Amino acid sequence: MSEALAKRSDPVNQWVTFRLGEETYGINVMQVQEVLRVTEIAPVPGAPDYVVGIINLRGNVVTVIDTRRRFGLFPKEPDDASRIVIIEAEDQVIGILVDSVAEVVELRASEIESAPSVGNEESARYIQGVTSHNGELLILVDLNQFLNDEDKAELDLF
Amino acid sequence: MKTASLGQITNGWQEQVLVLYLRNLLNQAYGQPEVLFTERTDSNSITAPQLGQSAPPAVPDWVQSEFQVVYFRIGHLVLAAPLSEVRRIERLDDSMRVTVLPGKPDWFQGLTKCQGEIIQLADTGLLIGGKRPMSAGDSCRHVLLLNKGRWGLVCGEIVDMVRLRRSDVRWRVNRSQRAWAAGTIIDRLCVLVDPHCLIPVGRSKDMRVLRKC
Repeated sequence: MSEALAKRSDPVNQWVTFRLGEETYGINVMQVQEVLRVTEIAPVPGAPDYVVGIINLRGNVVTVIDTRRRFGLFPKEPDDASRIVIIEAEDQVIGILVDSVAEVVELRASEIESAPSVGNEESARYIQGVTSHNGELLILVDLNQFLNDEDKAELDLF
Repeated sequence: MKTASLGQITNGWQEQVLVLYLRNLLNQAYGQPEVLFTERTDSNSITAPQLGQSAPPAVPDWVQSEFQVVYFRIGHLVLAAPLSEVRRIERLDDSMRVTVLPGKPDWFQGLTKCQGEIIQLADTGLLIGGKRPMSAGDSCRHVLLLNKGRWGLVCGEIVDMVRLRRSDVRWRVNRSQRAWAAGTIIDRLCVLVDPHCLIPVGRSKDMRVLRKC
């Protein structure tokens, strides 16, 4: 009884972790549809710099975003470890290009600390929190905040 | 004799009136210099608060009659911080991994775990340098862990720790600019930093545990 109460007040969520440079990020597993190897990505002329291009996913056109550029990191050419994570964020299906996908971890809500609120609002928006996992810090990304309204409007054009 | 005597009296009276008139003129023009002089030279009176009535000195609340400071280096510059606001000093070596968060300002170096606690690291050199940032240097880096807000100020070498009296510091009266500089330690000509004013205001909320994901 008390265990059930504890679970309700401190829910456990699963997070898919991926690497970008030296850091590990986590996204909610419920929003991940699939993970793909990097295949041919068709460039889109006039697209924002963070858009790598588009892919054909079983007949559906999916926009692929360069997560490094979106996070203000140095861009890197995809290699064998690179993956496209297909996610659903607020009814929009997009692919995010990451350096590699690591594992799925379970985290209690109480283990997550909110991200430091320094810097511009843009970055504070999509970093949901941080937590300690296997001796290092895991940065948790809120995919619903990953794209702002302006971004979504631009992506709708593809 | 009588006339001469009256003349002397008259001359004396005229001189007194003339002196009084000139003194009044001087007082109108320059105020009451005698009174000001008395105030300034009275060493037993508490002159600083009197002088400060028009512009009170912004002495931080951590200042006691005596307090300890830690001297640290940022590049070639030596600064001081009050020990009452520093709960621990850690050496920042390779064992302390720094996790960099995307989209944060340059002065925000990232997060690190320190004795089971997540600490936010701020580059002191960049924060105080403004347009001319000073490097803390790569060797012998330390972190001053502040007693509020899980902030750590990254600096260079720790020089020493000293007990000061309140009067050892020339406190800044107007801290509207560079609010982090509380004053100057007179004998070392070294800036005493008010650490909590160093983190940009309004963007330094404490980290807290989220209730739900």
